Amino acid sequence: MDFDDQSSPTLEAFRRDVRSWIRDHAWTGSRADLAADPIPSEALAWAFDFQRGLADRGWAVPSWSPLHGGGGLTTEHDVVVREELSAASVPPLFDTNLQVAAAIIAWGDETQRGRFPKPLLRGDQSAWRSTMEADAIADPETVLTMAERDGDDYIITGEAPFFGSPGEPTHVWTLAVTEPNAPPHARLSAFLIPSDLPGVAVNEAAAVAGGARRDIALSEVRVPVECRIGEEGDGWAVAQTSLETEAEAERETREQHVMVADLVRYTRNTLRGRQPLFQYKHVRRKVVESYIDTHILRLLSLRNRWMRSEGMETTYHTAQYALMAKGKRLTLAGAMLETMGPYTLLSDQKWAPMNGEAEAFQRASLPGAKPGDSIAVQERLMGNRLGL
Amino acid sequence: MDLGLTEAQEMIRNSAREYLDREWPLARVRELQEDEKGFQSELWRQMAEMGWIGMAIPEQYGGGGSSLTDVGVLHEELGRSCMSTPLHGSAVLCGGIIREAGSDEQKQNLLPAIGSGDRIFALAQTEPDYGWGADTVQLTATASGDGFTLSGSKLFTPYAHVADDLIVVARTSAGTGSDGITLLHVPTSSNGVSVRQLDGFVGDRPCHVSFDNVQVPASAVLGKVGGGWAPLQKATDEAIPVLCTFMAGGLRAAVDICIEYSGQRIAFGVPIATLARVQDWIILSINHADGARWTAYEALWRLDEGRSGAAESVSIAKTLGSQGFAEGMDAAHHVHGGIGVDMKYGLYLYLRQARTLYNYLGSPEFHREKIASILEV
Repeated sequence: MDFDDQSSPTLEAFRRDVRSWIRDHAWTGSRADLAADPIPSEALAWAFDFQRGLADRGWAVPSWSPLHGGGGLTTEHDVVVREELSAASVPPLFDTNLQVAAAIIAWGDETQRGRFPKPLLRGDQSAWRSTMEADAIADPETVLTMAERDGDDYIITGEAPFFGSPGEPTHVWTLAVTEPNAPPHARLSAFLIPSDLPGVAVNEAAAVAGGARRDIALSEVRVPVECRIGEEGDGWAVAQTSLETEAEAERETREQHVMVADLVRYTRNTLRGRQPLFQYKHVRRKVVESYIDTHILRLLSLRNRWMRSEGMETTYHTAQYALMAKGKRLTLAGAMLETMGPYTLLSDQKWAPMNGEAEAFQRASLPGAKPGDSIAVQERLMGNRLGL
Repeated sequence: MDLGLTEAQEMIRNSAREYLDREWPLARVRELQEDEKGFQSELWRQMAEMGWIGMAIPEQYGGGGSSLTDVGVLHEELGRSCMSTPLHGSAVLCGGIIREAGSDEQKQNLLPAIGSGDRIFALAQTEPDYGWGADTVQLTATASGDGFTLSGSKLFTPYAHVADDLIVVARTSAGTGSDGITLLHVPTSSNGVSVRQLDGFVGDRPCHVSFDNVQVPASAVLGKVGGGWAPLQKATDEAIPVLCTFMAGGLRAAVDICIEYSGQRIAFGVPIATLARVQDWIILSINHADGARWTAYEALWRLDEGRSGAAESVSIAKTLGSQGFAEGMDAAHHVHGGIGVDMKYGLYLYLRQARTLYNYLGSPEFHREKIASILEV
């Protein structure tokens, strides 16, 4: 075995190029602007320019074929780009598009594969996802949106909270019941619906974390059959593809790694009573547990990358990594609350530790802060992959 | 990066699995473990013939000279079959101590006999004031003539009842720190040594070893008088991740039992595998098993390759191995309910092993404190 994940010289050269490009094109304003909804116009313009620049170099997802907007490179290149974006604190503003594009590449027909992924990667189109898609993984019968076949169209009716990229949706990605009498896992189909079709209503919604949300209502929307992704009844399986994403877990791993390093420093350097916090037994225990957690995440990431590089099929492994990354984030947030006390909740200029990064971490650690792929969803995905 | 097994390691795994599956189904393992001695000479002989016992012994002393990772691969399979034997304690742990501390003559005399299985060694370290730190070593070896006299006792010494020899960790000068600790080679046949198995819901046959004015010659000292702690720690650090692969293999086997059982057991008209709560327990177990496996192999790799960070990796592996095996087995019993405690079913063997190994070579709390000490600087 060899756990050394040092890059090859070629990959390091690629990393230097990516780093340099990101540095030259990074957002120079406030990071809070990028998390705001609505996002300020200047930040919005930057987000689209940046994403287009990234995609035009084949770096939005380097391992994808250029036909789909990728760079024809390897999954190791994907990791490099994600690491560099994360290191430069560039938020994953267009991830929803990437997830939908991945599902289309896996399940769409040739026309759909040629038509949608590339503009989605560039941000030219914006596909918003329904939060009910994730619930459907656990129980397909929770989907209440109905699609009734009418010649070459479906008539679709339903309503749900949606989330997506900055700006407004050009498309709506949703599951709908096409075969109400079929067994639960075969009653759903997946649709990518243009949001300018008559009957689509997009309304404002707000959330404490997780970026932009909208309540979207579909009222007897006439949707051409070409908008269905996959065959009728494939919807449940399509949703699994769109929800199984390694990128989110890798970002989690890196964020938690940085946060734990900060936590070690904070507890070593902050006095409570007459001694550093780290000298208290309960603090040491919490910090070390968090440190071990980041170690596990790193190894699971390494394992999955190795499996992919060897062409091995990952079964439960992607969902497991995502599940553990999400679970350990909550554990770390709890450990920070326990060790740092209420300071970890402050963004106050005078009293907030870690320049407010601790508060930002707490805020983003709410269950459901990353819409559509909660811990429970990853548990169900893992259970499915284990054949349970 | 290459996390796969080498061709040779695949062979070790496949041949071990083939032998254990064929010869040692769980029902037979249960018979062995419930036997009065918990040890079978015939099995021990076969393990020696297959080269398992000698794997960890250097080639120059008649062993296989295998890497720690190779030895870990074998132990993962032994764990999978819940095959508790003196192999780890004798060949990996005590063999490692002799290799680290022994003189050339001691190595020549002892290591070939350990590797061939002709002599079984056991490490007598822990005492009634249980723990794995230097401060818990209180047994005194008093200077007497050209050697030492041992009086006192050791507790929780695995397989001492079938051991030919002990490595006794004793104090040759007063104090509580690591200075003054000496390693002594003491045959169990020595006058004044008595061994008694401890009863309970416990595996690996822990024993109470009593020393009543046992005379130990100076030639029995392994390494330097008062300088035993460092080689003991080095050998222990190497033995820990090997033990962790055993624990990871055991938990993974229990997970497979859970998956099979939950697919067959019907409740409320459906296989219980379809119930979210049951799935959650299985997922918890497999997450623990994978965490234990990969941290164990990473630690072994660091040790084999002489990489930095090995001490930290060893403690991470043991923390997760102990904790994961114990919590994962609790979850496995949740999946099974009543059938899980049926002795014929055999799941309890894994649970007992998990609880037995939880504290052995250091509890999670002990190893977390070691990691904290590393983070502190």
